[in-house]
Amino acid sequence: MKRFYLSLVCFAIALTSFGQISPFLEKGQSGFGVGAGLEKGQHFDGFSAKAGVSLNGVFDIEVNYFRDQIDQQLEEITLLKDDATGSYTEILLTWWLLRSKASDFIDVNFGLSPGFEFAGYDGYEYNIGSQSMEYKGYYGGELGVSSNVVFNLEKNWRLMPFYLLFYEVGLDKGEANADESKTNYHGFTSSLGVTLSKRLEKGNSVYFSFRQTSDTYSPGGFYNVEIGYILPW
Amino acid sequence: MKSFLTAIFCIGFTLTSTAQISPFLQKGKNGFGLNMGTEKGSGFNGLFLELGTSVKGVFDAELSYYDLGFDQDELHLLSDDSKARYYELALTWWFLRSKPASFVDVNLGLRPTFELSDYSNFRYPTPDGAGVIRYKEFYNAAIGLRSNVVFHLPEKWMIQPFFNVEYEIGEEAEKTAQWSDYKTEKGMISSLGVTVGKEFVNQQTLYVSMRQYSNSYGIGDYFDLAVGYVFPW
Repeated sequence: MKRFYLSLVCFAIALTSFGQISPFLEKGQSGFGVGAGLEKGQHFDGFSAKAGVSLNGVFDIEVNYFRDQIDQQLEEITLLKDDATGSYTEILLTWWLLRSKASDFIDVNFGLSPGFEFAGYDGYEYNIGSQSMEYKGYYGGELGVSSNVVFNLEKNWRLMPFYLLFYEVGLDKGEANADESKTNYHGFTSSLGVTLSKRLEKGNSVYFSFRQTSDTYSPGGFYNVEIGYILPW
Repeated sequence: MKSFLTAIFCIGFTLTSTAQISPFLQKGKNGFGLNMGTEKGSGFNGLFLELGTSVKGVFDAELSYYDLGFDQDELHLLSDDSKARYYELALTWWFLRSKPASFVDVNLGLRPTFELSDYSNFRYPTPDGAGVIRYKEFYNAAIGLRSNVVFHLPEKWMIQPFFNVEYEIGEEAEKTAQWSDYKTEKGMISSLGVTVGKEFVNQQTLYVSMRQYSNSYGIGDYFDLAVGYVFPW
């Protein structure tokens, strides 16, 4: 059972946002950011949406939402229905401890990111022998570090490679023969990616981001592309 | 059986070429590049050869050939001489080539690809053990993004970290004594690596590149090592 839960957890736990509003802004400037994207993993695909604010270019507060359609045929089990879905919500704070300008064209940023996440699954039902099982979702906390380097290019373009690493701990919820059960999970998730952005008038920015996420729960990575907009205020 | 097939599929689909000729050249210069290398993953290893040309330092066109051998025990195959050949045609449009400082280049490219394969003696048992499936071939198309930053060091050395991601869709063919089937597969792959180059007279460059691949197919990472040469024309 534990192994099964672990394979489920990887769907969700790895879905951390990339927590980057402040790096688009000057230090001391506040702003608002929104983004939307698509994601693809071994047995799921879906979309993501996020909204957040940056306070003085030092603190980011973000709310992220992910909704995924899950394949009926998984590695170890076959779901009873072909329309299982998972919805995830994450609240993430990022304190940018280090915002340094290494040269005229390079910014280096390093942040600490605590967060909270919870997920609900619908239709994730299956049988093991004569037992009927259902996975309900999970909730947990996370603590991570966010790092990136911003290359300020000609014509207000910027390229930002980034790397994030999170440690997560929480509880999975499920039912076995209608009896509720909870199982502890914990593990690491990392994200590696690149963001390309264009700075417009008055400091507004549009960006396109792609990233790969890996975790300690499964051997495969999954991927996310996102477009977004940053507005200073 | 699906996971096994997916693993096979993934072996082929992740074999994307280095796609880095233009980043060795100044914008506006044409060039020619070739490289060869070896790769190793779980259940396979092989050699590859790539030839390509850069037009104006903005468009790369490349042809790649891979020759792989498979491990009979690890993949539970029925033959000890299972092999595959892959052919790939890739175009890369380096839509962003920026030089924020004299010693740094930043490059971002869009890369459509088409790939064909041909398998020989790749046979394995049906799930019930009563028959034999022969994996024949696959073909796919992909669209990817290439990103790298080139640091020009003293004595004309250069170091180039890169990160690439790609979305693929294609079909694979398998056959038994009773049926023949084509299945559609799609997924994402990424590669992360570093290239070290040394520039000689007339901007000719010799380089060594190492990469790690990840994917959304749920199998482990694999690795390759290449040596190559680029010269302007």
